[in-house]
Amino acid sequence: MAGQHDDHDHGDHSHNDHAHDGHDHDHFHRIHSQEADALLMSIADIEISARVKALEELLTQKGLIDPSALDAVVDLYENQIGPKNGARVIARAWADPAYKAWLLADPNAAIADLGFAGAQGENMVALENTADVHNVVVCTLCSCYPWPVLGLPPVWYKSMPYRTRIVRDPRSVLAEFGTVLPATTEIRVWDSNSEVRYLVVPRRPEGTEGLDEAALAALVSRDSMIGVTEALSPEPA
Amino acid sequence: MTGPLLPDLDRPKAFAAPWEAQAFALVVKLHERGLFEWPEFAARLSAEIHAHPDQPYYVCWHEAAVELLVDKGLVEAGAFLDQARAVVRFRASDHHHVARLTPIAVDPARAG
Repeated sequence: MAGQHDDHDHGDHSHNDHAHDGHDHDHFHRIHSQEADALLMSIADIEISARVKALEELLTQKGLIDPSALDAVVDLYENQIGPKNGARVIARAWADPAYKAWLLADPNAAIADLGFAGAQGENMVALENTADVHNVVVCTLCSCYPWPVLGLPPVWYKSMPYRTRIVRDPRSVLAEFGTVLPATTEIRVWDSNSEVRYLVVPRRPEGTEGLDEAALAALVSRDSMIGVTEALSPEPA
Repeated sequence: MTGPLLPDLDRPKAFAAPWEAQAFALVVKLHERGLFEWPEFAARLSAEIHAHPDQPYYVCWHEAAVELLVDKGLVEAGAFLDQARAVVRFRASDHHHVARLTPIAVDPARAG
């Protein structure tokens, strides 16, 4: 894993050309003091990446996890699931009014119908954006997020400034995301928690009448399903 | 909280460091094995974030996981500390692997 050595203040050394004889000695000395320190460390003093690694190793020894399966989970959430599943749901809703009605009435069933379900995504609520109402989602407590359809939450979603400011002043925060809404549009901020996860159905962009579902899905960004942006516009023909 | 008001708007990846992804995946896999219900973990994560509002998110995540696993008897606190110390020692000893800025092997070009 990259970043294993980021707990050491030796970054400049990687640029050294070994012209200085003292370099290796200094380095050696530092290693030894670290070894001594390690014997005295309590768990809170140990750098977080080492603690995570230790937990992984311990659970591997106990046969409770398979390290290679961890990589598969990360890949799944970061690359394969990502927001693509959610984009397919939205594209279907845009293309098929009956599906959209189903999605709004019974989102768990409608989402499962496309084959997406699993951990933490069970209790979904779909919120339709219109010209009159714009919905945006936050988890004010931590980062409750519909992973099976949106992948992992972006860093800003978990940040305290987003979690507090989107509640206090949503219109300004949306403008910072480039989403400047007419004053006549109502903004609703929804608090996702561990029991209810919201999925925003963004408005279908103008000029997409002839597009098929795959092309539509490409216009559905992760941020538009959180509600901080609108869906993308198609490339001008 | 330091930094801009809405940090990392353009960050393409959800994880700021590999250990964050590892900490995340560990909990997901253990849950999938049926070792705990998701709300059990979510409650601990919330409590951890409330107790340490300035602590980075995935540090809270990891600590919540350790607490849960210790309480469930799946991990012993002492064994975990020993393992963490061993990781630190291993990484320190690994540091003689210095950067090499020139090729360590060359297969030279050959004339036609």
